[in-house]
Amino acid sequence: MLELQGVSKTFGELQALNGIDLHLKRERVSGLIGPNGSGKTTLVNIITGVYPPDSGRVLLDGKDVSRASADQITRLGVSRSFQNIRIFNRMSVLENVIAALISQDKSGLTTLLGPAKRTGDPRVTAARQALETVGLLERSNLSASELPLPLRRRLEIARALACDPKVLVLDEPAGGMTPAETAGISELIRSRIAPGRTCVVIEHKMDLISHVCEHLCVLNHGEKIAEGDPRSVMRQPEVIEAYLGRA
Amino acid sequence: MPNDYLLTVISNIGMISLIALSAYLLLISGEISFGQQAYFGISAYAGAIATTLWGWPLWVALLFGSSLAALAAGLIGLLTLRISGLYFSIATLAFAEMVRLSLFKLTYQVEIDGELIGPNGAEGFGEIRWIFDNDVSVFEYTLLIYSVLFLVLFFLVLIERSRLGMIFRMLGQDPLLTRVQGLNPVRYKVTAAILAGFIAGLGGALYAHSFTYIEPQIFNIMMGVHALAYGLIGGLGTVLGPLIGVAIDIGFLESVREFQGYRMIVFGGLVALMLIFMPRGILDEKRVYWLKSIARRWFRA
Repeated sequence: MLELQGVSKTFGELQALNGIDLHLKRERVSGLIGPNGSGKTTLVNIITGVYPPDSGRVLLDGKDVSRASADQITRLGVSRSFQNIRIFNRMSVLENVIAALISQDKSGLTTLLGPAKRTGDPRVTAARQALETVGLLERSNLSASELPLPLRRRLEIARALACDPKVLVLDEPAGGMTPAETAGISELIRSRIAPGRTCVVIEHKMDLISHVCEHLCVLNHGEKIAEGDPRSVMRQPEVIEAYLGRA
Repeated sequence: MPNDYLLTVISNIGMISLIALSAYLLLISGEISFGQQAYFGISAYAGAIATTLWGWPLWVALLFGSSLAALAAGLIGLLTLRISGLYFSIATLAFAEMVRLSLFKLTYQVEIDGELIGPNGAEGFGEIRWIFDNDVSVFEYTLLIYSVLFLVLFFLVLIERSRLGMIFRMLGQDPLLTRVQGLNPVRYKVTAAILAGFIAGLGGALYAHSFTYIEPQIFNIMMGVHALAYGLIGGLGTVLGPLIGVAIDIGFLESVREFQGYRMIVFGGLVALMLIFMPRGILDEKRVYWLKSIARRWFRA
């Protein structure tokens, strides 16, 4: 489905990623963990076209998309949420999700000048379904800025989900949440988001990772140090050392 | 029938509203342009040349001037694609100054009825006589200005409700987030620049024929700053926002005799206060949303 071959990225003197190989299989939830500064978000930004890799390749369904821009990658079926929440604050909850569906329309002047939201429009229906999935349908007419943080995270997920992506990338979906809220989002991902979908979840919270992920990759200082079944990966000495330091 | 002074104020509000709407369109798309006066000026000169020297009908001259302005805006939009924020603002100001200084050098005069007529550098361009030659009264010309303004408003309301309008507002809030929704910001930034250039151009061509005399100094930085300020005062939540800004400045501060001589002081203070207490103007997105929900409830009841 999505494959990274020898992906490297540097920012000035900093080697953010060094020869990363990763294979995300279809309909599997993969976790990506690592200490702060290990290169997780850089990897997400490369997968989603925000940065091009300095070397290596990103393949989506076998097609090289290493040089594709972020908008092209999205149109090819990769959607994401952000570690630092990004929503359109001056729009309603529903409009935030409709925003993700505009690029799916056929291009053309008449389409562009058509109404952004009309009852019965398939895009509005799809947006409402995505909001229903994450439990925000009743708040669809609220201004997005009025939502508390946990619901903003859910809104980001609904937006990423709305266009039925081939690959869904969730960057710290439980960031800033209490344990109870984390448990809620963890269950949401496991029961309603992940089934039948290719997902990548970046998280620090191991409870969430072990609850939702079938496969785990660990980064440290821009290098992959472990990969495989989450339980066995988390027992590996290199992983424990990366997280807790040398004894 | 209103007197000529009142009509002049009303028609001035209409024409300046067009450059305010032009700056507003860019503001909601996230770009602060200090250079919309350039497109106003380009179209003023082009439109006036077309009617006065070439004898074209006014409506053709309006379209010609505005299209030229839109073309220039599109080119500047393309040249400034890679810059945003303060750098974009400086680039637009620099272009506007280039246009203004170029107009000081523009000499293109044609002998009509034994008299040399046309732009003559710093002396400006007088004898823009379409309004007299066609025996158009101030009242009739004011009606024409407002017809154009209402057409533009209708078009902008259509855009506001459209996918294109939504994309403009998305861009105005977060260009990266817009890009990861699968939309290419470049295409829509240039589209916004072209539309804004055209709208400013309509105002410029109407202005030249209303005042019958134009000179480069009219299209200076102050015109651009005012155009921006109107949207910021009136509000960025609806197309009516910039019109409120224009009405406050020209309809009130410039027209009320008690403010004569103090207008710029009051206006500057007003802009400063608005930026502190209402950074997105009187009719910002929240208030517009609130007003719409009240209106919906009212009509349902």
